[in-house]
Amino acid sequence: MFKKFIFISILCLGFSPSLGCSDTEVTPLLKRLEEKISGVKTLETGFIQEKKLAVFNRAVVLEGKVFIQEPDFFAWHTDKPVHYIMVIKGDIIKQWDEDTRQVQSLSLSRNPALLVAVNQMKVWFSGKYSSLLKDYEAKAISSKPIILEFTPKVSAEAFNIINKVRMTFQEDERYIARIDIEEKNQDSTSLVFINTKINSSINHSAWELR
Amino acid sequence: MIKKLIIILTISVCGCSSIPFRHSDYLSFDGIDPQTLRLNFSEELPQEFELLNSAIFRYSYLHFSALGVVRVDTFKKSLDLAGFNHLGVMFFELSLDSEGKVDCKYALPEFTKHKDFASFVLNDIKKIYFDRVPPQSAVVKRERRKVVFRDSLKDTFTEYVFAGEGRFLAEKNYYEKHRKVWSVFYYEYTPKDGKIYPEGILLKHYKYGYKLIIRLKEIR
Repeated sequence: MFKKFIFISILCLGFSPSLGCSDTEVTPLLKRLEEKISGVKTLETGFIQEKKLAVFNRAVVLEGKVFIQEPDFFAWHTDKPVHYIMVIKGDIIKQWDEDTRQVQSLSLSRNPALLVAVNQMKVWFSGKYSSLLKDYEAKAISSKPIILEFTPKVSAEAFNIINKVRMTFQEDERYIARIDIEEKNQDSTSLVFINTKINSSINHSAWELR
Repeated sequence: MIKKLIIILTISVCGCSSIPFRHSDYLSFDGIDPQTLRLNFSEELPQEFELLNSAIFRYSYLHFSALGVVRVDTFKKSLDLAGFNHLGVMFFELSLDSEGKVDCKYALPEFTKHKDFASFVLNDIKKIYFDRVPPQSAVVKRERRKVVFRDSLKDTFTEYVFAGEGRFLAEKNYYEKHRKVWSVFYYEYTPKDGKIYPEGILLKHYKYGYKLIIRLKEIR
């Protein structure tokens, strides 16, 4: 489920192509991170997402919380600029927002676009990083904290869209501190995780829609 | 063709809810000169602005909700618009330049299946933010609690209805051959830096049967 959290995080950034690491020197590091991530059973974290679009004066900022509980629960709560809750359990996505004040249920498998994006992310986050080396160059640009930088290869679908993606891990390497995406059209997105709690119990209200 | 696009837009399904805005008061227009009203309103409208809105596109029992950033230049008649879902995933980024050229910079494949998608969306945004001041030549009809300006052109005409708590533009109605095609309703104007912005907007397209409900979240 943590893998799902990661790909949802990436989806939130509007970044759907699969990533890969071609730098053989970084492979042991990726394996180490994967092992640590696999120890995460619950996660509760605040987030601040900032999307800068070249054409607009100010960034769009979303703030909220993410909850994950193995094996099958994921929730995304946005507090600003609009109250919104999304809960995923298996194939079912339920969402609520303050404007419609209605709960909506969707099947992931019946939303082809979402499913494609999710499947791409599943590949990326399956842990088989070596199978993804064909699309991206990967390098570690910092060891404390660990910062990985992914650059699409010329042959990758993302090459025309993305300059680079940086993933910064927190000190204990068990989770991500922030993700930064720089696009070729001058747009950029960052997702910063704050007050992250790992393997602590999550209140039931996190999975409830109003 | 347009109906197909509308259905594509309303990918998500759920029940309907009523219109969430209302006018808190209907003031009398006794002693108010319509031309002064028109000019004062024109001066209070911002010429160039950027807003963050939430929006619900509603068609029959289907709806589709999103966040949108819009930058409008009412003088140049240009627009930039980006739509996102509540996770921050971009749906589209569109622009309209001062010469009327539409540019779809980005759109999810679901939207671009319909080639007129960008024009369709931008046309609605134009209806909302452009041409909010009736021309001086418009025919005026006064009522106790509203003033209606009617601007006619061959088989079409546009009505500008001033009413409500601020005596501002409350409705814009467009007719073809005396049949109402669409209306935009403006609610709860809020001031910022000497200009006014409606906090609630409702676009009703009678011909195609859809509604667009917009709530102002930030004046940027």
